[in-house]
Amino acid sequence: MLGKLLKYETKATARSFLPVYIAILLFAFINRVINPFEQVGDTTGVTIEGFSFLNMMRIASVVIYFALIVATIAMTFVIIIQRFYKNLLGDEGYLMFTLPVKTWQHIISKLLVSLLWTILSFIVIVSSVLVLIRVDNLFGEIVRIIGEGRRFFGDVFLILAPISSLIGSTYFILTVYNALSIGHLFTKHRILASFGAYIGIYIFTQIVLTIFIFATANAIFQPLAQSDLPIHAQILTLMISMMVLYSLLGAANFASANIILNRKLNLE
Amino acid sequence: MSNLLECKNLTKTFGSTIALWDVNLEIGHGRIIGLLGPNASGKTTFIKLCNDLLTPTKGEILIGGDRPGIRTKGVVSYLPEKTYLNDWMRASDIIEFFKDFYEDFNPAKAYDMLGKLNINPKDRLKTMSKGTKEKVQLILVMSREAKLYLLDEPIGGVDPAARDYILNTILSNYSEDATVIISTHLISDIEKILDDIIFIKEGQVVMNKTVDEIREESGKSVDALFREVFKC
Repeated sequence: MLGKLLKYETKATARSFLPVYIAILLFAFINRVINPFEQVGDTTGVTIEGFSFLNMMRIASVVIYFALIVATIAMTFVIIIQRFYKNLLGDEGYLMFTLPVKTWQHIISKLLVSLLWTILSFIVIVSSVLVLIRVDNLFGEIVRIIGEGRRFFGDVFLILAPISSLIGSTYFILTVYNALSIGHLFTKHRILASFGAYIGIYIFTQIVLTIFIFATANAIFQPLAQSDLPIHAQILTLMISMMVLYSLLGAANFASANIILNRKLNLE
Repeated sequence: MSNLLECKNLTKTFGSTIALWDVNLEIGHGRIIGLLGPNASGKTTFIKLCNDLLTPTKGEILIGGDRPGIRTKGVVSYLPEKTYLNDWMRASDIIEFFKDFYEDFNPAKAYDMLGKLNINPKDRLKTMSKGTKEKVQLILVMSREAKLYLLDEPIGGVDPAARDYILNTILSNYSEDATVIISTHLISDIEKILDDIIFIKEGQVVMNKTVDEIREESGKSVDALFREVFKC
């Protein structure tokens, strides 16, 4: 059943993302071809007559490109919230919650598909920049940058960095779900209550982090602060402990949302 | 035969508001039951509790021996009073959706009924009127070969001609041992198809009888009796 939920969740969201992804890559390519940055920066010999149709097009294509990037980021956030709020807690919830499916499967399917779009949005934006900026020997440059990272942070970092950003995104999405679920406990002003809940969870997380930092100051943070060039093992300890901490906080958000939707569901 | 649906001391409160109070019911197979009561009497709360959309404050509901959950959802077909259809889907997409999730769903039946009502399966739900959406929803719900149908105000929003069609659809689409519970306050329209009636008032069952019993005992129609019981 989880597979079917994933299928429909992907279908329902792909309609919004795919056109924007295609548009970004298209405009990155257009900008690469007409190379407007050189022209926009070059003011020598600019006259009223020189402000031709072509120049207008150049400026327009740059503006559209950046607007699309902002739109993609904003859309990723909005859809994470909207799919949970509308599809589960709105009228569509009457259908979703009467399917022979467990509540946790609804949450997991929304989470996984949200993660998928977060990752894809990131990849599309980065690729569009790469399309745009005409780096000579692109592959060689990427290898060089990765090499720098390895030298400074160590090999494990290369594996841990993507995993930790994944954990961070998961934590964020589950916090949003939990905040929306807590907001749902109220009979009035549910959106406002969800905002309040988000702030509450945020403060709670900060308190937990502070306690964690104080508790482990000697073991982790002191050596890190004192060494000029941090050694790999220190970075590793810090990263792994943060990853564990955020995984636990994410799991707590998941459990809270699951309990609320199971026992306290009250669709309008 | 064991009961299809059983309620024991079923109570639901929202804060200090009582929606249902100590309801005890036993409902068998193969009945068409009118769940009748004025607005805010607890009809929708009862149906939502049966669908696991609400959790009882006290007492329990058993459907085929199970508490509302994943097993009962596979055998209960529910028509809510809200339109729950995703706007972006076509009628044919939502039929696929139902086929995917409900084992007892019969797509051929659904397409057949869409055709009879002149609804194009390729039309997007977004472009449909409210009444048409309600019809699509009813078609989906009645195309399941479920054990229990829970229809919350199925005829509230449609015109009288469509009302007749819908009642015929209900009558001709449920199998012999399935039970249909219809909640409504438009009694005269559905009176002729009912086997039993449950009158519900301020969260309590005030009468639970067969339509024949009512006619014999009081010599009145259900509609007339309703007006008497719930006289303001």
